[in-house]
Amino acid sequence: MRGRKVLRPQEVADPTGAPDGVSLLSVTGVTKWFGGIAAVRDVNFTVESGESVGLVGPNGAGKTTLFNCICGQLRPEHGMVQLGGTELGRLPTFQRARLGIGRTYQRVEVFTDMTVAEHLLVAERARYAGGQLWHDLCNRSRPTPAELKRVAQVLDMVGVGDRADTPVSALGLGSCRLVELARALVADPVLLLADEPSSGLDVRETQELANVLRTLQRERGMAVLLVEHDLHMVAQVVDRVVVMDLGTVIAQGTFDEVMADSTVRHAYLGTSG
Amino acid sequence: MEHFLGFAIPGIPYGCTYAIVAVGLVLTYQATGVFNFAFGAQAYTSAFVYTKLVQNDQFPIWLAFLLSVVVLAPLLGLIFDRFLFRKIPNSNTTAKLVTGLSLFVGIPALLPVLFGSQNQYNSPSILFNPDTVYFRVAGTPVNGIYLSSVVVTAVVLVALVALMRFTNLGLQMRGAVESRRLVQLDGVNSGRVIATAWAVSSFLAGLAGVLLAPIYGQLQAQDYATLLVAAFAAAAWAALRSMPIAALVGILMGIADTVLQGYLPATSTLSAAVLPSLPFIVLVAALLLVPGMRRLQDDKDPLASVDPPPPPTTAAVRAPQLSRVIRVLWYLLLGAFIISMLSWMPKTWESVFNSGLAFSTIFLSITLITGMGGQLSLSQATLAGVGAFTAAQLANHLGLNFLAGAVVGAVLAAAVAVVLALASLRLKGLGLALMTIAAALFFDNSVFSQVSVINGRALTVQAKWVGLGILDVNGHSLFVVLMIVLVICVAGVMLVRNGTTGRYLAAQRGSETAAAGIGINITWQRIQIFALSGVVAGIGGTMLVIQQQSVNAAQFNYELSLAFVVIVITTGVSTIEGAIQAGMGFVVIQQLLTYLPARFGGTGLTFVLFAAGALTYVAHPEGILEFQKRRWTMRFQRLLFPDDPSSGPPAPRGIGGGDNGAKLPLGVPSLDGSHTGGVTPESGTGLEGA
Ligand SMILES: Nc1ncnc2c1ncn2[C@@H]1O[C@H](COP(=O)(O)OP(=O)(O)OP(=O)(O)O)[C@@H](O)[C@H]1O
Ligand SMILES: [Mg+2]
Repeated sequence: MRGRKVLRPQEVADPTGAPDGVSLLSVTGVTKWFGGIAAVRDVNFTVESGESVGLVGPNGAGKTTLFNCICGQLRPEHGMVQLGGTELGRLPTFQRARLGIGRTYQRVEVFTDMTVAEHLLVAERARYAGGQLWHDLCNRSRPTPAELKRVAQVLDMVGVGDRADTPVSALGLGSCRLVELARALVADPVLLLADEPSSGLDVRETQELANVLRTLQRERGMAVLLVEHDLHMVAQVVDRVVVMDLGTVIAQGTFDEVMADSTVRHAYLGTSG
Repeated sequence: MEHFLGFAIPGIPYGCTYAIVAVGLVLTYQATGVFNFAFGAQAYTSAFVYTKLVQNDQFPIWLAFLLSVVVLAPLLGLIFDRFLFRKIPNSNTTAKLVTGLSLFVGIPALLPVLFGSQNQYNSPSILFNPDTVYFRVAGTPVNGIYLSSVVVTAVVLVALVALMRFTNLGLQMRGAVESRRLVQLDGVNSGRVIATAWAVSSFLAGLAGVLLAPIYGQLQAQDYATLLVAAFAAAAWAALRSMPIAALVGILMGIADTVLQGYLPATSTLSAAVLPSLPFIVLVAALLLVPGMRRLQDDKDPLASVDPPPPPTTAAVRAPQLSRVIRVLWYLLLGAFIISMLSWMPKTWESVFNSGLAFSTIFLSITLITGMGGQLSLSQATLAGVGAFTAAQLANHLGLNFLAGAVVGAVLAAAVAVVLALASLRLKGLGLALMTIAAALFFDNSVFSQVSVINGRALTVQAKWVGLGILDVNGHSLFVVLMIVLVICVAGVMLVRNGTTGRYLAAQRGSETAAAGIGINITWQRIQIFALSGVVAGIGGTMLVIQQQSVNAAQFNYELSLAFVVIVITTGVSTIEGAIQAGMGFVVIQQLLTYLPARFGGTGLTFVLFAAGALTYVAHPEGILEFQKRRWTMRFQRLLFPDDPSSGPPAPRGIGGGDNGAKLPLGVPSLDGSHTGGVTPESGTGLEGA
């Protein structure tokens, strides 16, 4: 059945395998309505493989809604989302995840009953659709040494290695965000969507987070789409910025270009109200 | 046409009571966010007290009505509100459901214990004389019972519309729908609005109860459960939103029932099977077709999820030394139990413990679906019944050994569970509870009654089909078989829980969004766990039948499905221990109660005790028994190893783990101070444990 089908990321979204000229992620004309308001309206942009893109905009601009459309939690009324040139269409969230889209959430979504390490173990299994009831019943589904090693590695990289066996319910908000990040990273995503990862972190932690993201992008070629209000961090991490306001993209370009743009300043300083 | 009216008119009084309760359901749901499962029990209570006052104590009718409906009914509602529902955070759907269910199970069982079960026949009609035919419509006589129902319902509904439309209070109640906190920000005393909604809707429940009492010759709690399910169906068609639609559907259902009764041939299987299940069919149709019912789970309070700091409960880790001691004690206890059962145990108690083992197996299926799957399913007794009846039919028709039949029965129960899972894929919480209760009702009324007979005789369990003679251990072969079956089931559940499936399910309980986001196929996991719990329930049901040496529909009726859930929640739904304690506790308490005067015997007081336990779910989602156990463990631990850092407070685990208020801001006094006091249930538990 579906649950057993193993989808390797390479099939669709191998960052190196995609034909030339095809972006890793391309969002075309995406529109999402909530009742009478368009939370996202005719948004177009692309993320190349290995690229790091910032998605910024004032509160309510539609950034999280756009993330949900990319991940399949919401279905846009119009437009399409393509990964490595393949239209994702009505593919459910879990299959998109198996194609290599990793995600962290603005409103922390951790598995309340689990320890930090368990979060990563479960994510590692799920990414490759591991796990059949039959294996459980034969007691053949313990974590393998390779899995444990990988989990330890990622935990150290993100900087929560010392809390591997702590239940997440005993952690603060900042650490929970790091756990979410580690959970996304352990599956080795080709594209990471991070929704305000630095909120709840202090200055030092934010700096470390920025370094981790930068390293991953440089060394592993992981593409990052980062929603962040901390423009200082955005400036450090991203190659390019997409600015949204009231559901539409109002500017794209390098960080400095965009910050010089008058529409952007207008949207941010809110002179309209 | 005359024919039709002749069939339709007798249905109107039923329809009126359905309508009244449905309107009450919608009213409380809208104003307080609680879908009150206890309304059936409240209706029954008023009817019970009313009948008792008139028949036994010779009260005048008007005084009895005043006391039971005008005073008692709203009072009950206010008590439930003040002491139970008010303490549950609005986002905690499971706690609201469990509390309602506990009342549903506990109250009807409590009444006979309190008042004795004398004379509950021939309740008088409140307004008009039941024996007088006032006039005829299309040749159908209209007597006082009908007239009372119609007149009272009309008056009540009109008064209610006026209240909601034209008074300030009504406006505020409708405002509370949107957001309790927003209303409060507007300077409205939301506590008063909520209390009023409870009082009014409970009055309606009581009224419906008393209206219904004279229609049935004898007052029985089951009839009120039917009333409740019919009202559920009507309320569901109104998407729990519109009172006029709820009232209309309620009345139509009453009419449809008698019309079908009139037109279907009286003795056909169809009429025997369809009629009692009419509410079920209407309810399932609503759950599948009414879009609003699928979106129930969506948080409708925009301020309920302000910001998400996770709850800082410290995890409970028993000190390793103590764990070892406890494990050794466990094995000693188990050994002593097995040896006793095989040697000196008196026959009565041997059979009590044997049925405890069978119940434990059934209850394990609740550990699977509710504890691990995070889904509150109210049809586990039904699944057990599917297994049991399959095995019994196979034995009666083919002479198949019961143990082989158990396997086939388990597979069939799993198939039913999968169908149920598929039908309720998009439903969670309340929606799923309603779907499973509908399924239970359907099997109870339409299937089990049909398959519990063969050639007009009751199904039997003959010793030769059980075939336990093969491994006769001093005449204790039944015990040995039950024990082996339970051990196998426990081992299976443990393997699944500690395996990948268990971890996926734990992830889903924590956050479905994130679980899907890391690649877990939530739908598939859910179907699997339903199937697995079907297998275990089916096996347990067959074991129960082997032990009791009889098969009948009453062993697996839908009240039991509800009661089972309440029982396991009391002992702890997330642990295997919990299921076993529930199974053993259930039978041992019943047996002990037989030593008391008759009024306390039977399942009644047992249900009351467990229901009372389950009422503590808000504070102790891990189960009150489990909570107490941990508390005492911690005390011992501090005595024995005072320096061990792990002697911290226990971490509770409830159904659906994180959703139970975990996302409420902690330490920020909620605007709605009366509801959470700014402390999540989790941390509340922790403090008491410390
Ligand atoms: N489930 C929903 N139902 C209705 N409206 C919604 C829903 N989710 C988002 N919206 C609305 O859509 C708009 C965009 O919201 P979104 O959360 O995407 O913004 P955002 O850019 O992420 O803002 P923030 O910086 O505050 O996170 C807002 O006006 C919001 O109120
Ligand atoms: Mg956002």
